[in-house]
Amino acid sequence: MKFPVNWLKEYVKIPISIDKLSYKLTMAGLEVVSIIKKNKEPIFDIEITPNRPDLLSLIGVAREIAALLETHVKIPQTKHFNSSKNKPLLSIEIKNNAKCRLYTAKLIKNVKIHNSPAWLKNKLDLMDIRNVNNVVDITNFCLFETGHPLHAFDYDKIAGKKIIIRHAKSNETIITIDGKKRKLTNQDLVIADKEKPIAIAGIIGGKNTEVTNKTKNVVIESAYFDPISIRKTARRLNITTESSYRFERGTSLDMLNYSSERATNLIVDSTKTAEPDIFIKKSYNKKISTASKTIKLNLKKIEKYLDLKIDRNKIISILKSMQVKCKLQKDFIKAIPPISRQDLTRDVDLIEEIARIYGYEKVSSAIPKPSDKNLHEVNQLSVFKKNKIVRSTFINLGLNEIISYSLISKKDLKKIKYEIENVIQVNNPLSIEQEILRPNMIPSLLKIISSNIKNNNENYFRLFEIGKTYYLKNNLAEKNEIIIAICQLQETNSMKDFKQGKLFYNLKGILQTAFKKLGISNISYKAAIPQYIYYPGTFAELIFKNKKIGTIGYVLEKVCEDFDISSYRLVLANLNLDMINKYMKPYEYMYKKIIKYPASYRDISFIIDKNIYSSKIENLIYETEKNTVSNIEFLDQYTGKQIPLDKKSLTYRITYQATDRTLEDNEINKIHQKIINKLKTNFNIQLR
Amino acid sequence: MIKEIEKLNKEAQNSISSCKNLNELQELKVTYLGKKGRITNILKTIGKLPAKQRPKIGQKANELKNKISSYINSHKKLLENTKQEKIKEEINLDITLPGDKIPAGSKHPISKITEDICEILSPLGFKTVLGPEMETEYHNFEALNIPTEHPSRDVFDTFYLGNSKNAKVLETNKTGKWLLRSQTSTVQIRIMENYSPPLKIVAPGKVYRPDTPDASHSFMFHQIEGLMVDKNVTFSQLKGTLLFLAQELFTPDIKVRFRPHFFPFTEPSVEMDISCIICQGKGCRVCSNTGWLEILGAGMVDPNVFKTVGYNHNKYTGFAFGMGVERLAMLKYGIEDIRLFTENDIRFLKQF
Repeated sequence: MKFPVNWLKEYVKIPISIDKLSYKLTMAGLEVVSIIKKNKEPIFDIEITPNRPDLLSLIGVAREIAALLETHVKIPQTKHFNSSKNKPLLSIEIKNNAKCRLYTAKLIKNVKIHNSPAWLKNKLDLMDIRNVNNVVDITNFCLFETGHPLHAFDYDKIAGKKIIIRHAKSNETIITIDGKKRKLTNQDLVIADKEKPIAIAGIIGGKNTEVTNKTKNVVIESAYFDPISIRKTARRLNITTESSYRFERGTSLDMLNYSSERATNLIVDSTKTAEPDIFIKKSYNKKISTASKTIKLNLKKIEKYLDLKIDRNKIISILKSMQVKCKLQKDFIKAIPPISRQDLTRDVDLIEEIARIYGYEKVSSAIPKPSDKNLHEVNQLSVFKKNKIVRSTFINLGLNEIISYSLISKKDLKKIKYEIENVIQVNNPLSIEQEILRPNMIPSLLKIISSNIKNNNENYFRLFEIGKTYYLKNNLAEKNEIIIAICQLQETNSMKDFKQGKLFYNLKGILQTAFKKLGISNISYKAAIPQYIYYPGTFAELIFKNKKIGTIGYVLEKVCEDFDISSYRLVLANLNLDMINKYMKPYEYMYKKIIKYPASYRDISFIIDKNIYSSKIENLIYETEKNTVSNIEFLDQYTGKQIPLDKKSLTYRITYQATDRTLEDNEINKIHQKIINKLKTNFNIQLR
Repeated sequence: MIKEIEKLNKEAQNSISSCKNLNELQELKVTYLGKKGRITNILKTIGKLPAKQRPKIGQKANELKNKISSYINSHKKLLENTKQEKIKEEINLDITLPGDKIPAGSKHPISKITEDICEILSPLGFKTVLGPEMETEYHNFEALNIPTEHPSRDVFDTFYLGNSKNAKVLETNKTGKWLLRSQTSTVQIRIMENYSPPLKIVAPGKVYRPDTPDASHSFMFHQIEGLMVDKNVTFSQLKGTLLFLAQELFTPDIKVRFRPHFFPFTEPSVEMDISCIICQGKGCRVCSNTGWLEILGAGMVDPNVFKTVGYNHNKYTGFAFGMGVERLAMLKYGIEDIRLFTENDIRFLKQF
């Protein structure tokens, strides 16, 4: 809210500079966001926190300044007008006393409507409020001065001379003072006369009872409306007014009366002929307390809570400057906050007030000691650490980490043919682009790849993401996953490269090293019927302890096309991070003795059926000679010229090494021949 | 005999200095100094000489041996140098050419700041924990002392979850509608529900709010929540912990200030500002000329929160804090647009 400094000075003496005052306010929780100048007048723009509706007024902030500067506020005196003894000229009926707990109206007769005096015009101008006429301007002025909104009606336009506070009827309409026709619902609170709504309660007045140049008698309304009801109606109608803003945050009873009395005084002053005639007050809700609860504030607690000793006289003087009534009793203070401070109900609330005015900077800074008893037993605590290890493993292998949106579109999910029934959606999405809580990490990754291809000219790049997927089964569930992609421009990855699975083995190599570093061994790759997005014949499931721990494969051209990345070849792996986290043993190394006897190598090249997996060949070799074969290294695979279509040529290098002696050449030759024979009988290989 | 020795000296000098390569030099060494070499031959004949001459001739012969040995050594050095010179001329690398492209991985800046903060607080005893992103109204609001009709519960401020089949609202009997958590403070509740004090935690993670994306808003971003509960936890410890964090994360000479603020789940509540890291507090565009940058919200845990989770609020006190990771990353790395974090442009990623 805006606070013209010179206007504030009408209520409190400010002997310090504007910059110093601004700093003091900021450090007391009234953050001066900026200091603006308008008509050469300095204006503070202060962010008022939602717990302090009492500060949405010049008087409220002046009180705060007085407390900070240890001085007093000067609140303008008002003259009290008594109710007329004549028969009331206006009656009030509150039909919904849950939403309107108190309604007051003052009728002022023989008012002259004219332009406001210069002082009033200037003030409203500083607040960026349009001048209308003396009566309307005075109600606006009082709103800013006291924080309590008022509304002025043209008395003669109120049908039946009766004000009814009620719910609107369904489809009832009202033309508001801004000229717009508003359709109401039976949840909206309105001020009505005998025939029609004349205002949307607490939000905006109706055109039909507006104060105009012809108005002779006015009714000044000052009431308490339920904040929630006001907020709901204001939100639905998409109107925010100075009035609705304050009612939404909660108004206080002391200012309700003061504000309307102040307005009455000003109106009477501004037109000599005016005479306030009646004063009507209606209250149907006994729950409105006019007194606050007593709070017991233990002096030791203040010291313990803040780790700061404050003189008790200082404590009392701070509380008093906040209009809190105090009574010192031995070790505690009996405190009664003012009615305008509904936020002060407990001792900690008062401790905050004391610390805030005393100055947070006076509290020392102490670092807590590491405690020995702190959640040692909890397993889930290490998930973050484990994720961190996985993250650095892939980064160390040269991959770039991404973080994508977990909200995706139905359209993108359909592109990977994911069943979109029974997935979790956001019922109030910002746009259909972010409607679904992803049950799969592929679409968001492909979108990022797509935008990178559009904006960059990288021929080859590798990305990974650690993230969550979301499921709706019996209950809502989140899973941790890793997704990894290698992308290469097709021009630099020939058809031959593709057919030989160059990128596949590239990614598989990354996975193998990663799993090794994470201490997860014995992962097998099983050919399986691929999910829709993968290329048939390039797809494998990663199996660990008989369970699927992930998938790997080339992405279908159609999918690439749908995501606008068809100029690239793409290989993806999707891993179950929950499983990895469960089984990883990144620190549990066991040293294996380095064999001191020399190793000998034999290369073996042969032609074999295309469909026989390398893993079978390796297993057979190991099984045949457990003690002397220390390693089998795959060197090369070849298909094409000189090789029959249903065959492939493979080359391995076998390392022979014993742990207890040097193997002699003739012994190795014998073993090697044994292996060849075994391969011949089992797989019908032909040596090359 | 002496003449012979001098002659040999000259001859050796000449042949060694005109020698062209190391192999030849090695041959010459054998010729003169070898077991059957010429000097050795002279030394062998000394015995046959008259006793009077022996010492003098012997001395001369030994001198000659040393001389030749030093000729050879110095010429060897010369030859070696020449050889290196020659190699250098032949290879002569352009050492200014770039090296091979070794792909280096990169950590996303959000992960980086998150890990940094959790590591900074770890020596103070704060354990890093995680909580679910899909949460209930109870954990996101009610338990955090946010009343039923609070504006932040509006559909304008919180994403509510439904079944894609029929948009049916997902809700539980006891804890209300399912939503996407709008703050990591939910983890405070989750941890306090399951463990008893004392405890010290940090909880990083994603949060969601229906904010229309622009340079400083995103509907998905990251927060880190902190919580300490024990007997006699003080406001002073809150200040100390956060000062330590700011010093470690930015620079040891950073200044901080604590402004009173309002949060429903803390009392007193504060916002912490750091001296502007761009202008060192002099005032610039980034800090709107105030010299200060707001980086987090904090406070002493509100007794109502303790009551909700069943902690004795007369026995225990605590502090909590929460910060936006994107904002910290933007300040620390000078990133001007929050959308860069989710665009994941490789040119951006590779800088971290």
